[in-house]
Amino acid sequence: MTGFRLVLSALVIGPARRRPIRALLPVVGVAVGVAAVAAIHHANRSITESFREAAREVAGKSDLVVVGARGVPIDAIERLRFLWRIGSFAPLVSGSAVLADGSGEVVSVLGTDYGAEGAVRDMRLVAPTTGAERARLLTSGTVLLPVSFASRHGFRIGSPVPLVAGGVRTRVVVGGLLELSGLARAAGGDVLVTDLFTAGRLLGKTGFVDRVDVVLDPGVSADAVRSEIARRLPAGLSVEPAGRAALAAGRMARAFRFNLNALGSLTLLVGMFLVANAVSISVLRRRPEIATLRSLGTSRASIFTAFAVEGLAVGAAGTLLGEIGGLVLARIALRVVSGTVSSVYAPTAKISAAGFGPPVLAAAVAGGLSSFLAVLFPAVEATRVPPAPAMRPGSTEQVRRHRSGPRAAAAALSLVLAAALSRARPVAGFPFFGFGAVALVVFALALVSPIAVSAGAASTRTAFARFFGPAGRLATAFFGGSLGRNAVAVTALAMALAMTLAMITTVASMRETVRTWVESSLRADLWVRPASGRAGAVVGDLPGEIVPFLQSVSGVEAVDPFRVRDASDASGRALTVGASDFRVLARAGGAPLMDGRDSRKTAEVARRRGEVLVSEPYARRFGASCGDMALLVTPKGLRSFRIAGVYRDFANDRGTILLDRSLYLDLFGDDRLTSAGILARHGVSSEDLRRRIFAAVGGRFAVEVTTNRELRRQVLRIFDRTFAVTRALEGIAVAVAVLGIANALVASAVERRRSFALLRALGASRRQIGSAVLLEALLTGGVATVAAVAAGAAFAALLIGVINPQSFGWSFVPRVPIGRLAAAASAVLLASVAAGLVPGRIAASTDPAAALSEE
Amino acid sequence: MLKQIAALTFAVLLPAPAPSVTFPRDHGAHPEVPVEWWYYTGHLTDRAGASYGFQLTFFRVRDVHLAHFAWTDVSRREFRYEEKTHLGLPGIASAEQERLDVSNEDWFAREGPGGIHVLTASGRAGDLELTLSPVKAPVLHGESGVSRKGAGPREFSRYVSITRLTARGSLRRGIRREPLSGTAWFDHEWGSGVLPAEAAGWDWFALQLDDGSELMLYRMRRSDGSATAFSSGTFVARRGTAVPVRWSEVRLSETKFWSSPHSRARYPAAWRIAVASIGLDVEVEPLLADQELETSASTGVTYWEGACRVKGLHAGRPVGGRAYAELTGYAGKDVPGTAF
Repeated sequence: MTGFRLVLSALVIGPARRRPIRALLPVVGVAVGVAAVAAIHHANRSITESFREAAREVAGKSDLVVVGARGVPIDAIERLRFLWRIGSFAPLVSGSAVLADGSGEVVSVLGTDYGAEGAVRDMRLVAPTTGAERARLLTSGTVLLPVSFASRHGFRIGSPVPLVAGGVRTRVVVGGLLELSGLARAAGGDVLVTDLFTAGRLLGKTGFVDRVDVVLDPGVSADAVRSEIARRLPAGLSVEPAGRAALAAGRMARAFRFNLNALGSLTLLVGMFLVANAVSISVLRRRPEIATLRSLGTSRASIFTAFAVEGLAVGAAGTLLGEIGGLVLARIALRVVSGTVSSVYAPTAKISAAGFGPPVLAAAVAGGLSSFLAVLFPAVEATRVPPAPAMRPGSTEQVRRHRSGPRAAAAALSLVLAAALSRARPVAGFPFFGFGAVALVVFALALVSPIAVSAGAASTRTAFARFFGPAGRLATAFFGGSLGRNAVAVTALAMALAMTLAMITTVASMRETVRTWVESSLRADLWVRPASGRAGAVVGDLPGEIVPFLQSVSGVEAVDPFRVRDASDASGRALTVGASDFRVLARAGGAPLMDGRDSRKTAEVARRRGEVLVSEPYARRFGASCGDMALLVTPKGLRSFRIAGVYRDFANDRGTILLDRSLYLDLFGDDRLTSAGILARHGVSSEDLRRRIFAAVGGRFAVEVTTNRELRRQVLRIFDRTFAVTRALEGIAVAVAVLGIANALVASAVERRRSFALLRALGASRRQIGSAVLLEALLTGGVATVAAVAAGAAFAALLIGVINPQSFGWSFVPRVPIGRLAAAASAVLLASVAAGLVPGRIAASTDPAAALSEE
Repeated sequence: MLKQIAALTFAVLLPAPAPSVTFPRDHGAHPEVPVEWWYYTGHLTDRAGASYGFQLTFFRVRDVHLAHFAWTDVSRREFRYEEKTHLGLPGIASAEQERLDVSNEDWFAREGPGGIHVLTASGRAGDLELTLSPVKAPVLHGESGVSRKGAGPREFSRYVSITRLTARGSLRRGIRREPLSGTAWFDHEWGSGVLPAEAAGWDWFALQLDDGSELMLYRMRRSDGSATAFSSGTFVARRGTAVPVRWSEVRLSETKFWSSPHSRARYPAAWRIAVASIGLDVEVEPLLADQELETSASTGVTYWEGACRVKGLHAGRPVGGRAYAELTGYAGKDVPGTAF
C-alpha cells in the first residue's frame, strides 16, 4: 500500500496542498448542491410528516375507519353496535374555524365522543383536576384546548372563545386544558376539542359525523371485521383500513413537493458536473505525471483509485459542508414552503419541522453517489493515459477529436430515444418516461459539448481575429485547445442554464394559462365566502339559509351557491365533487371547455339531462372524455353520469366532477355552500353591491366579500408565491454553474502559465493575454448559452407537454417569454465573462522569466 | 307556620309535576330533565353457596351517558369495578323513552316479556347476565314520587324503586359459566340533579330483610354529619305497601370507620339503624370493607357503594338480611350533583 500512497501523494494530495483554492471550488459546488438537496428534502419531509402526523393523531390507534360520501349519518352508527364485543369505536366530527379574538388564526375543530377516546385516541387532560370540575366538561358548548395554544391566546378555564364557524359568529367556553399529545397535536396543536354535538352545531354538521374509527381487540382479524362491517353498512358508506387517510394526506401538495425535488436534483446535478470538471482538470493537468508513474510500473488500478479517491474526497468534503449549509437553508426553505402550503392547500395545516436525520442521510447519499458518478469517467480516462507519449502535453486533444463522430451519433440516438419516450404514457400517475427523456437530453448535451466547443472555436476564429486582433485569435486557440476542460464547464453551465430557461418558460406558460383561465372561469362579479381570518384559503362553509338572503339584496341579479367536497369513485380513488347552479352557469359561463365549445349552452343541456362537467385533471386521471360516464359514490350509493364536457381547471389536481346544484342536493342532501358567486344587475357597481350585501347579511352571517378583480389578483398572487421558491433555486443552480466556469478557467490559466510566458516572451502584451482569457470565458459562456437554448427548448417541451400533464393533469398553452429568457441568458453570459476576470489577471501577470525557468 | 309558607311557595315554584308516574312508561328515559339514573344492586349466590354483590348503574347527564359496574366477591374478598362514558349516540350509549331500554356499549338493562328486567354487563370480574323478576310493584318515594332533596326550586327528583326482584342468571369467566341466583333492588331517579347547597353528601341505604320487607333510607348530610330536613325513607311491607318514613323517626349512628387506601377518604363502616315507627333496630355492616369506586373516567366522583349484611330486630323478632349502602361526599369535594 506504500506504493499507492505515493501515487496518491503525487497525483492528489500534493497538488491539492499547493493549490488549496482550486481544490476548494468543486467542494463548494458539491456543497451547494448537497445543501439544496438537504433543505428541500427537509422541507418536503416536514410537509408530508406534518400531514401524516395530523392524520395519525386523528386516526389514533384505529384499525379501520368508516367513512361516507357525506360523512356517516348518526343513525348508521347503530349498525356498528356488534363491535363492542370485539373492540371499540369512536365517531369524530372535524372541521375548521377562525378565532375571532383579533388574531384571525385558523383552528381545527374536533368533535369527539369524550368517553370513547381513551380506547381510540390519546387525549390527556391537564386541568381541571377535581371530579366536580371535570363533570362540568360535560356541559354543551365547552371546549378543551392544548395548554400551549391556550396560553398563547391568554385563554383560561372559563374564558369565552369567540369564533367564526360555519359562516356564523359564535362563542364557546374553555372547559379544560389538554396536554400537547395525541389528538391535541393534530393541526400542530391549534386545535379545539369538544363533544361531537357541540362540534356538529358549530360546523353545521348536525346528524352526521365525518368518520368512525374502529379499534379491534388484540387477535381480532381486521379483514374479517372489515367485511362484516361492509355487509352491515347502508349504501354510500364504506369501511377502509385506517392507514389510507394518512396516505391521502401525504399526497396533498404533491405537485408542489415534486416541483421542489426536481429543482433540488438539478442543483446537485450541476454540482456533480463540477466534480467531474475538477477531476477531469486534475487528470488533464497531471497527464505527464501519470505517464511517468505508469512507465515506472504503477498499475492502472492504482491510478484509477487515486483519482477516484480525489473525487470522493471532494465529494465528501462538499457533502459535509453542504450538510451544514443545508441545516441553515432548511429553516428558510421550511418557512417559505409552509406559508405556501397553508395558504394554498390546507388552511389548518401547521407544518412543523421534521427530524433532520433522513434529509441529512439522503443528501449524504446524493452527494456521495453523485461525486462517485462524476469521478468515474475522468478516473477511467486517467487509466487510459499511455506511459510514454503523454509525457508531452497536448496529446489529449487528439484522442478526443478522434471520438467526435461516435459522440455525435450517440447524442443523436439519445435524442431520438428521448423523443420516443416522451410519447409513452405515465406509470401509476408518474411520468417516469418523461423524466427518462429529460435524462437522455442531459446525456446528449454532455456528449455533444466537446463538439460544440470545437465548433464554437472554429466558427468564431475569423470573426474574433477580425474584431479583437491577436487577443481574439489567442482566445479561440485557448478555447479549442483545452477541449476536455472546457467541454465539462460548458456542459455544467449549459445544463444549469437550460433548466433555468425551461423553468422560466414553463412557469410563464403556466401563469399565462392560469391568467386566461381565471378570466374565463371567474365570471361572477362578487364572491361571498365564510370569513376566513388570516387564511388564504376558504375556512369552513356557509349555511344554506344565506342563499335567499343574498338573493333578496337589491342589485343582485343571480346567486350561484357553490359547493365543493371530497368524494371518491367506485374504487375509492379520491376526487372532488363540485356543485354549482347550472342555470347561472348557463347565463354567465365560467367553466371554459377544453374543446372551445360555449360552456353556457353545454351547462344548459347538462342541467336538463342530468349530466355533469368534469375538470381536465379528472379527464386525464380517469382517462375519461366527453360522452363517457363518470362514476361517483354518493350518500345514495354509486351513481354514474354522462360527461357533457371537460373544462379547464387549476383549482386542484385530483380532478373535479361538477354537478348541477339541484342534482347535488338530491343526491347528497347537503344544502351548505363553500362560497357563493353573485352576478350584479346591470349598472350596479361591485363596490356598491358589496356594501349592500354586508348590510343585508352582516349581522347574521360572518362573511367576506371579494370582487372579481380582487379574486383574480389573489389567484395570481398565490401562483407567484408558490413559484417564488422555484426562482430562488434557479438562481442557485446558475450561480453554481458560473462558479464551475471560474474554476475551469482558473485551472486552465494556471496550467498554461508556461504558454502565457512563452507568448509574452514572443512579444504578446499583458493586456492581450488578459483579454484573450476574458474572451475565452465569453466563448465558454456563449457556447454554453447556445447549447442551453437548444437543450432548454427540449426541457421546456418535456415539462410543458409531458411531465406536467402526466403528473397533475394540467395542460398549458406554451408561451415563450423572450424578454425574461434573454435576460437570464445575458446574465449568465455576463457572469461567465466576470468569471474570466480572475484567471485573466493570473494569465496577464505571468512573469515570463520565472515561468519559463520552471522548465 | 314558616314551613307551611315555604311548602306553598315551592308548590308554586315547582314546574308542574308530571301528572302521574305510570309503568312501564316511566321506566323509560325522561330527556326533559338533565339528570337521570337507573340503579341495580343485588346479592347473589352460586351453586357452592359463595355470595356476591353487584351494582350496575346507568347515568344520563344531558347528552352524556355514564355507567358503572361493580362486583363484590365476598368469599374471595375481591371488589372490582368498571366505568364507561359516552355521548348518547345510537349503538354507543342510549336511553329509550317510554320503556326500559338503557345501554352503554354492550352493557344494558331492558324490559323483557312479562315485565322482567334483563341485565348484561361485563368487566374484569366476568360477563354478568341476569334476569330480574319483580316480586313487588314499583314504589314511589316522597309525595307520589316527588323526592325533595332541598328547599331550592330545582332541588327535587322523581324517585321510583322496585325494592325486591328475584335474580337468576350467570357470570361467565372465559369458558366457565357460573349459574347465580339471588335478590336485587332497582332504583330509577330523574330530576335536576342539583345537590342542595347545605348538603355535603348523602348516605343511602337499601335494606332487604329476610322477613320480606324492605327499607330505603336517604340522609342528606351536612358537612358536620347531621341530616338536613330533606332526609327521608320509605318502608315497604312484605305485601308491598309503602309507608313513608320521616327522618324524625330515624336514629342512624356510625359504629365503625374505614379509611380508604386509594382516596384516603374516611368512610363510616358500620351503622346502627333504628326506626321507631316500624319497630326496626338493626346493625348494618359491609361484607367487604373496600367497596370504593374512584370514577375518574366517567362521573369523576369518588364514592363507596357496597354490599352489607343486616342483623337485628324487626317488630320484636330477630331478623337478618342484606343491604346496599351508598356513601358520597367523603372524598373531598367530589360529590355528584355539585357540577350540575
